[in-house]
Amino acid sequence: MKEIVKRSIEELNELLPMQKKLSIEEKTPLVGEKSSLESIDLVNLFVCLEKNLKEKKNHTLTFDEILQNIEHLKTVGSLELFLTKKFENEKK
Amino acid sequence: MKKNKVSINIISSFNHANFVSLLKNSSNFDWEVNEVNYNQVFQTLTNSNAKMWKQRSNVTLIWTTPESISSEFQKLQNKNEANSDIIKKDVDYFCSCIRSIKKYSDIVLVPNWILKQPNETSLAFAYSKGFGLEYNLSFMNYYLSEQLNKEKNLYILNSSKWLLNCGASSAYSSKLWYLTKTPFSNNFFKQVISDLSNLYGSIKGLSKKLLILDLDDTLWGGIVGEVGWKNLRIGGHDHLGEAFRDFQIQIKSLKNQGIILALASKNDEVTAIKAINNHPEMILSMEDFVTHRINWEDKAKNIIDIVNELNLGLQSVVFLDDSPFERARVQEALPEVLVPELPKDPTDYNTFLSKLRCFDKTHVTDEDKSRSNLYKSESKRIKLKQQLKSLSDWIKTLNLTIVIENIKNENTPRAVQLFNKTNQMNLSTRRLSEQEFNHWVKVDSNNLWTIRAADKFGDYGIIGILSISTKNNIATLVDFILSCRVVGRCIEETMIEFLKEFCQENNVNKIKGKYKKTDKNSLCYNFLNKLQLIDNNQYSFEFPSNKKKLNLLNITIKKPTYKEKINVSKNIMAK
Repeated sequence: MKEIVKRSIEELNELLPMQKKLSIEEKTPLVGEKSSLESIDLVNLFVCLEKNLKEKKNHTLTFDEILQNIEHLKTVGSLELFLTKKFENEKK
Repeated sequence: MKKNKVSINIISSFNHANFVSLLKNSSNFDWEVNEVNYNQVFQTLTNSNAKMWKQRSNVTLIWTTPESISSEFQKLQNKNEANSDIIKKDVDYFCSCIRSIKKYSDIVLVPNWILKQPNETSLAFAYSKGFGLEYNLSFMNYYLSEQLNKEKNLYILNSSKWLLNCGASSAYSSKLWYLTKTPFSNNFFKQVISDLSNLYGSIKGLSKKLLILDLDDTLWGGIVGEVGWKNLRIGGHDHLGEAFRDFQIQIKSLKNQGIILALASKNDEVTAIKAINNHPEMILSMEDFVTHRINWEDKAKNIIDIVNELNLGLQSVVFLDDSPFERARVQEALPEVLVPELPKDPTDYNTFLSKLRCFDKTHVTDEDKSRSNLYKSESKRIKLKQQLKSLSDWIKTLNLTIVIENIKNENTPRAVQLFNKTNQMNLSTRRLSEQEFNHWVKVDSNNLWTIRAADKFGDYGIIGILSISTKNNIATLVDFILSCRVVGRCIEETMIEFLKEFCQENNVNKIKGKYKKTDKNSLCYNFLNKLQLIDNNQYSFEFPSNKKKLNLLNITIKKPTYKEKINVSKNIMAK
């Protein structure tokens, strides 16, 4: 999952200006006051994430699921955790 | 390295924020984007007071979807019948709007229409006149190009190619469309940006000029020194042979568009040339190559030799070689040279070459078509020069004829090309679009001449530009441009002599000018310095029109009448 999140952030960084580019670290904020991302950036991140999950793992993630769980997506680390748990639960 | 700034207006019928973000982060140019909110296409195109048009830009990109231009087309998406006459009128209106804003930028780019979402339904109806999306889309695109293809500085871009290269499934993003009204994926936008950069580069004379090729396993299959020329794989009933043949056909077509070809191969020269001359399936002949270095020396050294012989810069060169070792060596030694990673499988060579955008041109001039011959003649001249004792002796043997002409309409494309491509012998390095060029030439107090030359080896075509702007009996030398292919054979002195005579005939007493230093025009500095007009401390110069005559040897010079066009009373100066 780490790899998919990393790749998605790299794809988002291609769109962001130099000063807004995200470092790929667990503590990097994504959602909330500490985040420098605007709503369009978040949409782009989640579109990249959805595409990479489908391509690499054949997992489906809808935008509604993301919106419902936005509280769990405050940082890069919590996003990774959310995705790991979600798809582990789906397996069970 | 500092990137060139390019201002671009973007008008689109969909959300282009991601496109703009990628454009700003792209590496070739420093894009300065001026945009309007999406879906403001006609509002912007029909409003000459719009903020976008206040300042002239380099590029205007008008990117629309077919249904945003024609509501009649939209009916087709709802499976209703559409009237192609109404679609035609809608396209007509769109074209008239584009024509009205053309003057506000150097070039206008209009991607042709593709659907904003993939459409797989109604296979049988696709090309029905009344109901077919594909029929009407093709019709719209055909009619758009019919209407606009005669417009200068306006280019219709092939969106279908981006779709094809990207693959329909990764070109579109339905999620981005529904969330943000962005129809295309970032991969698709990257294709567009790459093409846009190359197209703009080619217009500004930054495209590559010289293709240096290896032989073994690059132009043919096999190592000629080992298998002999009869066993090389070119053409025939052999899949690899056919691939090499097609690759050669494409290289030959590049030559016909003005790309100069040369060989750099580690081989025995006699053996390799024998193969080129004798193999019946060879498409390229020795005549197609302006020069060659077939020897066992370092390829980087051979490439330097070739560019020196042809008087070109390393940044003009593309080097194609199947060997990763040779590619790495050249890339490391000569970072200015473009060294693409040729695919491992020769069946991919042809497609690979067709996707290299570095040779793209917006149009092909007569000079482009005969460029290879011009450079071949130049090689012969150099060989003759080496046999002779002095430069003046050499020039005397050339039977050089120089024709100076007032600018004519038919010479404008070549003149604009010289303006935008000549770096070395260029006084001011002004870059002008055709529109700006025409505008400048029309000013009464401005005069512009083209310089042609021919000698016993062939016709060089138009190789120089001379222009002045006159005010109060003083002429300012604005442009002094000479192709580096012909520098050093008294043409530059002839241009100065002509200028002096012209001024004397028109009672202009003084000629002044200013050398504008760039990274590449030290050749011009050296010439003016040789005439004792400028030195390291002083780039501005001034001299009387009756200054002592230069020695022009025995060159035949054809000049226009001096009274044809000059108006010294107007106080309009060149910028």
